[in-house]
Amino acid sequence: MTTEHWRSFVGAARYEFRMQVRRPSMWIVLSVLGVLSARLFESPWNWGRELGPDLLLPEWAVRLNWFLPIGVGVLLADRVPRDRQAKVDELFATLPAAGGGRLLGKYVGSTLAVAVPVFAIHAVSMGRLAIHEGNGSFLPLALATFAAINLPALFFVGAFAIACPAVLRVPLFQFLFVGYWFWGNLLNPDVFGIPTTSDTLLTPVGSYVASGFFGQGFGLYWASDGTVRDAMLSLALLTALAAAVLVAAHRYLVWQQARQ
Amino acid sequence: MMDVAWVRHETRRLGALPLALPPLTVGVFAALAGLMGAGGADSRQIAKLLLAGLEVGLPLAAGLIAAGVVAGEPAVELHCSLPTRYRVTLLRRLALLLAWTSLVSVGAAALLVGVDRWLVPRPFALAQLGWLAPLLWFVAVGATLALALRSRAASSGLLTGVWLLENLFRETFLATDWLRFWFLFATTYTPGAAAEEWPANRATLVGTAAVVAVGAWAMTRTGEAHVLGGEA
Repeated sequence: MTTEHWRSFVGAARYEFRMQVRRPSMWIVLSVLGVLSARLFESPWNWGRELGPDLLLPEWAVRLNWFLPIGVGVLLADRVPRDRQAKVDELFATLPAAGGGRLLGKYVGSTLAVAVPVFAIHAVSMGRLAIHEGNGSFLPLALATFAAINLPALFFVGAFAIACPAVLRVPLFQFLFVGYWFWGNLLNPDVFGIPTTSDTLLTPVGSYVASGFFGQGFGLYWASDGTVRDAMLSLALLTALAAAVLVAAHRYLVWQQARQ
Repeated sequence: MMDVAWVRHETRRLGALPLALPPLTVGVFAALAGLMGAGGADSRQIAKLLLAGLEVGLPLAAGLIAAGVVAGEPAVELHCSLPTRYRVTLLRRLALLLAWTSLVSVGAAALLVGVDRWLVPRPFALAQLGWLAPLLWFVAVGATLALALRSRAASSGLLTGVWLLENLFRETFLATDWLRFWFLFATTYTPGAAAEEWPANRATLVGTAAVVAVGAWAMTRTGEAHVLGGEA
């Protein structure tokens, strides 16, 4: 990466982070989804003290991954088309380090920004749990589950939400993404009998990572028999897919610019 | 004679997406139903999935497109300088979106009746409220949110949030007396059980959509509001 590319990456990441983190709609949508998740799954502090943090924390991280990434994907979908709509894309194209560094910066900055409310939701629920338990010794483990289960899901979803709308119209991507999320991550293959990625290493919900790194949960996710090797492989596959889709989007944008 | 040249023009301006997405959605649900059938699923379960395609899937797709139509127009300033008012143009585009999605939905419903997979125990014409009520609701609310927030991502995010809320808490909606009237997917999740309240539920949704649409029409009176930017 040349100095210009590095600078454009850092500049874009910083600016995208600040734009995204100040969007009221991001806070509203993700807070609503956080409250919905807590209500639907009856909050970890109601799950029973006998379970203990070792079971409870990875399970809660996976449950947060059920619905919060839907909001993340929908919210981040306008980042690349927004440059066209704000009529700054041609201006950006004239800059010395146009292209890759800026796209990567957009991805990293806006994904880190959506991670802030997700982390806040996680932190609030962990704080509530610590008060309920009268003991906060599990907080380092809570940080680890967030880093290993929630962050990779956000970066996977963020990559597709940034890259795909370079090719697809925003509402089409949003609709397909919501459909994909239910089909590819939440559909229980034993119940519906439809081929799905929800019980494979390719699910970003984090079932393999949770069971591989943190041990078995108590039954919400199906792949509760994952090993450490499965968890590593799942993370590697998700990272590779995210990188591939970003590279493809970059190539497409370069090709589109060359055609103009 | 009524001038209908705008129909062709606005259809072209809408682009391929609103034309392609409704049949694509129906096709995807039909393919999933086919897979379920091949996997030996119960025929009632398959019929329920196909009904969900019309009542749960298509309205969300149309609502997201409606928000995109309102908040994604790249040349609002130009529209504000044309003899046809921008609010009229928006109305025409949303009407075309509704008409096409409705046509696809009626066609799919007729097909389901033909293959004996139609679950709604009502006369065919009345049963169309099964998909029409949520469709009108999502299009009206999607367009209004986009007008109010002037942001495609914010409006579609909130719209998806409402869709998720009603899907995830369907049991609460169905079990609570006053919430039952506001449940958007009452046909899919209770084809027989809530039959008595179903017409009132549909009427509430169509009525709400009408009120929201009137509010949106009033919001478009201030042309400058469109030109102002939304969120970053």
